[in-house]
Amino acid sequence: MNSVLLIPCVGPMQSWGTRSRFQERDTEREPSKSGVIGLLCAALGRDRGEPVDDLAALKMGVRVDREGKLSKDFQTAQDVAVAGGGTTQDLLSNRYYLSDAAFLVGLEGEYALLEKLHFALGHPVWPLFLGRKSYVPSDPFFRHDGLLSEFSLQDALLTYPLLISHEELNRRVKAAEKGQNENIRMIFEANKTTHEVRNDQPKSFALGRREFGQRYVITRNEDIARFQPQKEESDVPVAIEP
Amino acid sequence: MIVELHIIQNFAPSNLNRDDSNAPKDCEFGGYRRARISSQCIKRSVRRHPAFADAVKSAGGETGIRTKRLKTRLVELLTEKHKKPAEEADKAAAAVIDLLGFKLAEAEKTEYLLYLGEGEVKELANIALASWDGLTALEIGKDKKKKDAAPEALKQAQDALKSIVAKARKEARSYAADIALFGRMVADNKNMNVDAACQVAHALSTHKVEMEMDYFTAVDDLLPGEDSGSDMIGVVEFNSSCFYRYSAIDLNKLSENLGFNNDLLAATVKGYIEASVKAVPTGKQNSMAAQNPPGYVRVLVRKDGFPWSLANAFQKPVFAGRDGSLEEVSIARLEEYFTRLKKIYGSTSISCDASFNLYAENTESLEDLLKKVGESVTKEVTA
Repeated sequence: MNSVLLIPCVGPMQSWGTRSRFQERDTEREPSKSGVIGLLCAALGRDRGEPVDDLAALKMGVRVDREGKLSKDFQTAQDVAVAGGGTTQDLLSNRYYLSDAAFLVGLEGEYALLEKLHFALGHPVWPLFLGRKSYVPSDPFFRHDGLLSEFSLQDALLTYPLLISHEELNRRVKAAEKGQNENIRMIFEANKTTHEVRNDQPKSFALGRREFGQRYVITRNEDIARFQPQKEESDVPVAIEP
Repeated sequence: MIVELHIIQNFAPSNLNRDDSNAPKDCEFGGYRRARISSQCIKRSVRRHPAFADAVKSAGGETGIRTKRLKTRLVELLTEKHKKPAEEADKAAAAVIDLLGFKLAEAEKTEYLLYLGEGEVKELANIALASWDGLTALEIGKDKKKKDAAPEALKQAQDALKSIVAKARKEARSYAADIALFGRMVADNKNMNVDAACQVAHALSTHKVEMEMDYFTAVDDLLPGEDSGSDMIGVVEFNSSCFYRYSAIDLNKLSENLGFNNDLLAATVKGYIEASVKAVPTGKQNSMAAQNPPGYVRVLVRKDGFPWSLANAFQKPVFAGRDGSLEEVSIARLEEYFTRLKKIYGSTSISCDASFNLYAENTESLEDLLKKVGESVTKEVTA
């Protein structure tokens, strides 16, 4: 049976773009596979020009513990060259990001590879971030109990505790009872063609030769009441082994 | 190896960094609206602060210069240092720039600003000397049809130029200190790209923040006596916030970018910290003058493991009150959170923990902190 590596993606700002062009930098509403694989490459110290097939073959699932609020960071850059040549311009860009979001990303594959990745997350070669270099996480990417052997991706994401506090969970469960939609959205990679496409299957990160393919996903909504909150009543993630 | 920098800094009413609607930038965190200063805004004010350039120059390093006048500089080097005749030098310099893939626009300037270190310019001059005859024979005209159509004789020189740039990128290469820290992207020549060694988070307020408006009027000085009223009215948005600022330097990458020069490495780190502490973004400062030095600065040097942003200490926003001012309460919250993190994740990877605290009884000075950090960085890289 396969094993699963769980990676929390929690921070005040995160951005997972798959369709950006020039000055409009987009974000999807949950982590992209290309972004997560890039994160793992940074942890491993794997350069852009090297192959990523082994990592791209892992199956990815995402659990949305808290939906982010879509926000925009307005950025100006002075004296930038433009494609048409001639004098420089001051360029404006809109960089969209998700504010205050919390995701649990799961990757399913062989234990040996996942073990290496788990260690790399705890001892990253290059700085890690949530989509853009300045989006630093508030929860570490590394969890002592984040590597599960003999586990399916689905079970792992359904049983691992939510990345939110008791207080928040209680508030949301009460809101759900009153009829508000507090379902936990889960996105899994599908084995067959579905109607949900993601253009984030990385083939190459090489400079000047970046290439991404398509993959298909399935979205599920689960009742929030079936999940557990973090083990301890605090804002510090708890380790199982000291 | 990582150097983490944590700062708590309270600003008087100000609008240091604004978005396209001229409101101070904001963000949601922990369910509450926070004030924000963007990472790029902080980086720019740090990069331009004299403390950074001074520290680096004192160690024999250099900061990058942004210039369009690469050709002028090359010609200067070739004629003065290498004693080449001016006309030939002119041709050779133009040829080098053309072979690198840059175009010269009006008045002999490159089309856009190149961010270069003096050392890099010297290297280009050396390459020009190596292929002098071929370069001076090349006619750089406006009728060059294809993009990289160099004549056969110079294909070798062009390859040599491009491969030297590519090879140099892989080998120990000493970039200017600010390029080494903040990185560089050159669209025309990807081999000149430098990955940043420093990660700067967006600064977030430790408390929740409301929008504040300043209603202003501008009255005509020559308004006739009996008339009243103003000629311009408007609203300026601002707020007063206490920020948590975080940045981390990847020492291994910085060392690589600086050509493994240990003295320059320590000076760059110290210069960066000093500039981060002293620099303030300039947005709306003429009317607000919010020049507030930080009340708390903490620097950690980590041998390994992963860096910690302490933003989560402020997930629940702080409130000023009986326990103290916003700054005091934020500092207390941060230190307590850090102590708990150390208990859970261990602190064996931390080889230096230096700080100063405006509100503590016996606190160190900025000088002491910089000295401690410089020594620790030097010790770690030479170990």
